[in-house]
Order: sequence, then structure tokens, then C-alpha cells
Amino acid sequence: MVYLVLEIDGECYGLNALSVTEVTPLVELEQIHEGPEFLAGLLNYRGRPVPVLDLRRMIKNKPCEKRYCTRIVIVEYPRTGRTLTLGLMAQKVVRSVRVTQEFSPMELRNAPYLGGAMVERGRILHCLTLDKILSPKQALEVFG
Amino acid sequence: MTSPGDKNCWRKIGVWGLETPRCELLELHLHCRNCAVFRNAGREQYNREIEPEYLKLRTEELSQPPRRVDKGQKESLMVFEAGARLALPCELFREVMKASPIYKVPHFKHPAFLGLVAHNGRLRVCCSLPVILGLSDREKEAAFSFMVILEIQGELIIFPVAKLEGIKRYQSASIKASLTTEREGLFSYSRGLLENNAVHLLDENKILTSIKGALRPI
Repeated sequence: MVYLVLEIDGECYGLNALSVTEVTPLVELEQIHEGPEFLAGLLNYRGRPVPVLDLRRMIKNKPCEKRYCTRIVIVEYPRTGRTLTLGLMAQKVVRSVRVTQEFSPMELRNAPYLGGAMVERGRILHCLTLDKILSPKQALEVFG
Repeated sequence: MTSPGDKNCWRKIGVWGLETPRCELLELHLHCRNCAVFRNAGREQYNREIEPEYLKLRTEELSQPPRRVDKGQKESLMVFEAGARLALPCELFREVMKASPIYKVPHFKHPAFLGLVAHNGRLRVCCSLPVILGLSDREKEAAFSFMVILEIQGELIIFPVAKLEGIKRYQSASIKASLTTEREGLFSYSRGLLENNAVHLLDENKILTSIKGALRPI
């Protein structure tokens, strides 16, 4: 399995590459003033509006910094039987890893998006579970 | 002494570790490009504040609808210069080398046959493309800086060329058929025209036939 590694404040999060459509550089986003805080804005993705979540805001409660290594990962987000295009903004999206071992499973009530963890090159790599990245309440706020 | 991990350590240690004292990590990595210190420093280059112009350019780019990729048949051609701008399919090219001395063979008077060239311990036939194509009567050897080794129907033949432009990919549909009525000269060897008729795609089989004719003992 290949995982795309996103770094948030020095912590590594792995996202299964199968669900990733594209990794785009940071671009200007259309702000949604009444929207939830973790929603960074709307991305004009090749002529289609795509909501972008700020992963650093969701996990660390701080917005992503505007750096060259800040990227938007375009993913297919599964929701009620169909998939929706979603952007995930994270910092230092510069590498991917090939994972051969299993993630040791994890289930945290406050962080349901963490599906497990493993040690990769001496560092902890958390596994992001895409379908749990938004809590049911948050998903309602974004997709209605 | 500079130890690994210092700021710009590779500049002081030298990427090949030729400086003394030698970096101990280079024993393992041989070159800095294999070292994690170097790699992480490279990645840190991206960890800079983004410039507004760059942000704007990317925004503009990403908002464009996806470009349609033409999935038509493509051909990889090597474009080179030998009397004119010529092209041949890539798969014919066995090797490109610097011009080597040509050993003249007595009693072979055909102008297209230049002589023999030593290549990998064997002597190969060296022929002049401009002469075969009727672009010049006599080879000006000094003008050629490279030699290409082509394999045509199993035969290895060496041709001096002036300049190699490189491998280019063309849509098969964009290659215009050239005039086939000509019986002599460049057009009779030309299979198609590229880049606004500036480049001739040659027919390698006709060239081989011509060489065989030139080498026939008189």
C-alpha cells in the first residue's frame, strides 16, 4: 500500500494513495464567511467548486501557513453511497511511503479519523481514515 | 571540523567526500544525494513563505478545465542534422558517439562510402548521408562532430552527423506525406515532412538499398 504523507506540525499522517486524485499546490481559495472554521474555502478545481478542509485547523486548531510545501490533496470522499470531491489542505506534502506492515489499530473517541499508527523510518505515522475525517455533524455543515 | 547535519555541511565536506577530514556518513552513502541530511535540506527549500505571484499563477492554472489529451498514435523520432534537418525512428539508433577517424579503403571509389570506423572492437561501414541524399557531392568531414550507429535490417552502419537535436515525439497524424514521385534526391528518400516541412523523415530501407548499391564491387 502506498501512503501519501502529510505533515502537520512535525507529525506525520498517512493517507491511502488509492483515494487521492491529485496533489495540487496551494492556490487562492474563495472564502466562505458563514462557513465552519475548518473549511478553508472553495477551490476552483478545473472549473468545478470543491470544498477544501484545513487539516491543521481540524487537528491543531491553527490554520495552515502559506508555504510552498502547503498542498491541497484532492480526494474522493465517500458519503452516503456516492463519492464527493474534497480538498484537504496540509503542510509538507512532499513524499509518499510504501507500507508493507499493518497499522496497529486505534480507535479514539475524540479523534475518529485516526485509524491506526505505525513506525516508519523511526517516526510515528498516523493513518487517516478518509470516511471519518469529518464527524457526522461536520459533514452536515459542509455538504448539507 | 564540519560534522554531518551542520548548516550546508555538503558544501564544506564536498558531495563526494574528497575533502579531508572525510564525512563519516559518506562511507555509507558515497554521495550526498543519498544522504538524509541533504534530502531534508532540499525539502526545507519548499518550506518558504509562498510568493503572491506564484500563488496567482497556480490559481489561474488550476481553474482551467482539463486539457484533452490526444491519445492518437505517436512516433518517437531522432531529429539530427546532416546536410539538412533529418529524422529517423528512435529504435534504429544503436549508439551515438563522438566522431572517430575513418579508415579509407582503397579502390572503393563510391562517394557515399567514406570508409571503415572502429566501433567496439569491430570495423563498421561508414557512409555519408548527404551524399546518399544528393545534398552534397563530397563529404566535408570536419563539419561533423558526431557519429550515429544505426541498425537497419540487422546491418550496423555508421553515419557522421553535424548536430543532434534530440528525441522528439510526433503525432503520427501530424507527419505529412511527402512527394513520392521524385526518383532522385532528398525527396525520394523522404517518408514524411515535419515541423512545417523543415524536417524530412527518412525511409531507412531506401537508404540501405542505396548503400548496398554503393558497396557493390565494380
